[in-house]
Amino acid sequence: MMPHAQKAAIFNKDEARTDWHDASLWMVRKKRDFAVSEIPEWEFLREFASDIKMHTLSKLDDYLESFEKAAIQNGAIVHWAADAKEHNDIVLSILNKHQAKKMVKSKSMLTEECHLNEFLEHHNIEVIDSDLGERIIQMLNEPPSHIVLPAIHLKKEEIGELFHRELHTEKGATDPQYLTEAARHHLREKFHTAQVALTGVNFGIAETGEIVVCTNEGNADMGVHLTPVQIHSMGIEKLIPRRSDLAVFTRLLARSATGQPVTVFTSHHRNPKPAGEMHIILVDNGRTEQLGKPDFRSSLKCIRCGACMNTCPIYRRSGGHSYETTIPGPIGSILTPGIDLKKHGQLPFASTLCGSCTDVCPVKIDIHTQLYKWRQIVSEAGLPEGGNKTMMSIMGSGLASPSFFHRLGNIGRKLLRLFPGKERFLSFTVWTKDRDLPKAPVESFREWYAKQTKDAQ
Amino acid sequence: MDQFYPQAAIATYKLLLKLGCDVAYPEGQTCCGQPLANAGNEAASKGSYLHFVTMFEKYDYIVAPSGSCVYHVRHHFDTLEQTEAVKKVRAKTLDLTEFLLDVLQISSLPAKYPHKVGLHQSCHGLRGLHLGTSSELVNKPVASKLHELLSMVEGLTLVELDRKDECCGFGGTFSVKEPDISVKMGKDRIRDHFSKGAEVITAGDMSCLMHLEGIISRQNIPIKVIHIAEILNTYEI
Amino acid sequence: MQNKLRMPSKETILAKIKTNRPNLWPLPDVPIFETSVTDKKKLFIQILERGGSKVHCIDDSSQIHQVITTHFPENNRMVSTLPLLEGMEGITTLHPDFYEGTEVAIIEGLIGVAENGALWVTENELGKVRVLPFIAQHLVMVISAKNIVGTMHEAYKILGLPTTEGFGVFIAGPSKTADIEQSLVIGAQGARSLLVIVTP
Repeated sequence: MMPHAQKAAIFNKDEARTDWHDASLWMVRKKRDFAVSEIPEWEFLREFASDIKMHTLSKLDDYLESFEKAAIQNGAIVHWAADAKEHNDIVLSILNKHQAKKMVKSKSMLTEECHLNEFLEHHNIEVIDSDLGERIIQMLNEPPSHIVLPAIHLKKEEIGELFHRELHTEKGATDPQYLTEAARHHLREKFHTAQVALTGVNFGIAETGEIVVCTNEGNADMGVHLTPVQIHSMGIEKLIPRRSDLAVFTRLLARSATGQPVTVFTSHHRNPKPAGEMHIILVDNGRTEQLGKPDFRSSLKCIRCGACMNTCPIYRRSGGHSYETTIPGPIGSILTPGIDLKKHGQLPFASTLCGSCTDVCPVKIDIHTQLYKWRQIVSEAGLPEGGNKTMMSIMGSGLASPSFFHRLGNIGRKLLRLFPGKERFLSFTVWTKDRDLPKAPVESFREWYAKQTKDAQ
Repeated sequence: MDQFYPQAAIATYKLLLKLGCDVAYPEGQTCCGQPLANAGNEAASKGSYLHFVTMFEKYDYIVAPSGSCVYHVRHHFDTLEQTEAVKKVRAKTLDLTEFLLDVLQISSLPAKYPHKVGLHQSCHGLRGLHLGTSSELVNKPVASKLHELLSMVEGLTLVELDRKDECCGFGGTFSVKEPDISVKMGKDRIRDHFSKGAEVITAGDMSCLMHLEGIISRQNIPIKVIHIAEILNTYEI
Repeated sequence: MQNKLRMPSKETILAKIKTNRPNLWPLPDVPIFETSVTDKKKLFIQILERGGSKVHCIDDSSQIHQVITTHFPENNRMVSTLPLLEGMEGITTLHPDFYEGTEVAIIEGLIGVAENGALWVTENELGKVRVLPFIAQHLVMVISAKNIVGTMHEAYKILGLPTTEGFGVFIAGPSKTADIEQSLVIGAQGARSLLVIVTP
């Protein structure tokens, strides 16, 4: 059984918890639906967003250069990182330059991708994730299970227990208000004592060199404005051409992600504060590679809203950790096989291709079609999920041959009449472990039809 | 369907005859190739694709009581060389519900089915063929070919579901690659229908119904499955 | 002497993009979508309240002080960047830590957006103290109804390109989180409440 399926099996052992996880995320999907209902031009916005992103990708080199030029003119320092290692080295070098030992970090899936925290901790830097959900999982030493709702897989009792251990809250306390208040005080102290703050980037504006960061908690701003040195890590695909394009994206992002009309804070950072430094790190780490794949390049349009995860019936019933990737769910399943086909090639098969993800994607990525196309590549590469190539070839010829097809079908039906699917001894098969096989009728349609036409003659 | 659910095919055949169509069933037909292609082996399915085209190219319309097969022909036969025959077959392959409403343009049926029915909107038909408006597309007018046809049936009551178009969990090879989630998804769908009082679950795709029936049978849930063709065919001329 | 001739990453990245990018895809002209709602102020207030903010409409700017002391009767530390407010601190230093302990920050919003309750403010309205609206326990923003537009398209049109301001932010409510079992908690890391005072 493929790794995702194994993990999903474990997840599903606790059916009540699976139902709870499923219901929580379905609720977020419903909130998204309500928010969308308030915007009659929603489908137009999706189309514009898709076009703006595709246009940007088609001129990405030009836009990156414009962005860098504008940012430098604003007084920011721009770095280019070809891969995760280089990104991490750059962050460390900035910290070392300022002899900084403590850094606060707001949500950045890119830095998760680069395993920045581990790297910095290895170099004796204290990194504090300031987003509440991220802080929770940091304390638990777990990766996030969702890109927007990192701790969605945790119950408040578990968080209460954690905070009791780490933040000395009352034993047994589970009230989210109380727990959040404890985290507020804990993090306030960190904001004041950190020497450097790092944020992710939701949108980089090519024409102005601005960095736009969208949050609800205000943690990114608290971090950035209280430290003299601010670093913004940006995937190169996060660029958009014009400031006015933000109208399209800010109208789509939060509604798709959580059902809010907009995030509480949409911060535009353009230049460093007086006596401060503003660093922007432009990161490739496989994005230029994906750009070169005609079938999959449009996955780079992604604005990391997580709507595809909320709507995916498989994600809801298996949880983000079952994917074992930084970005899980449908979008993760089309981004990661390009990075490591052997490890992540199983993910496109963790789907029924229902197409719900494609319908909710604010930038119209054809996710379910790309899942299908990745399957072809996985099979071609001879990887296990793609099935045995020789077997498949034989099956293929069989399915094209009427005589083989009919004989096979008849044998199957006759066998089933002898051994009906309700027989417990058959429950060793994958299908029959929890399902019965269909009842086998006396005659097939073909046999019935042949009789009809014979009678008619 | 030929081997395990012939009644759905028989109902389709009889219904089309009753509606005045000249219907033939090419006996040499095999499979549209979807199962292998979805499993990642498009290349191995090419033979079935070509066979399909050969079998059906001479007909005005090719009607299948299966949204997923029709979706596969219309969308994934693009990997074949687009000869006139291929183009024709792709354009003229329709789901039964499309054929009834868009080509025959029926507005009534003397069908009778006095039962509480749950409509399962199979994914390929819904989001692939746009047989209905998927719930994700909030601002598009709500429409559903299956719903429209079922509303023509006397005595039939449709139950209101919590999740109108969540996937049943079959997904072809998914059902055996990810059996736990597959079964869980099926169970959840059945629970939605059953808790709303549905006596029977109907859909346009037999694969969804076969999967749901497998779970229903194993868990002894007092609910049945039936292909929509069988409901629509409940009348004699 | 080892001389590693390694092309800087900027060049490698740009070169790879040039090779891999798709053909030119046209950049669309995005229209200025407007809201169909005629009473923008009403929608603005509705959305703000729905998101957990309080809104108070006044007929004259002279009433601002009154409204604030009504909502915040205790004589706690208040920092204001609006002129004409007595009993409050102005901006005296640019050291951000100094403002820890601010109970209420009072600032002016330049543009209000009805569709989402967002208010735009730049560092110029913050006396260059960028942390002010985040570090205060409570936030008050004053906006003129004349400056309320329907959508983000209209807002960005008015904003145009930045000139001198190095920081700007849309604020659409008190800080919040639902990270603990999807339970909404108002007051996360930033302000615990937002009071919007709408002047004519």
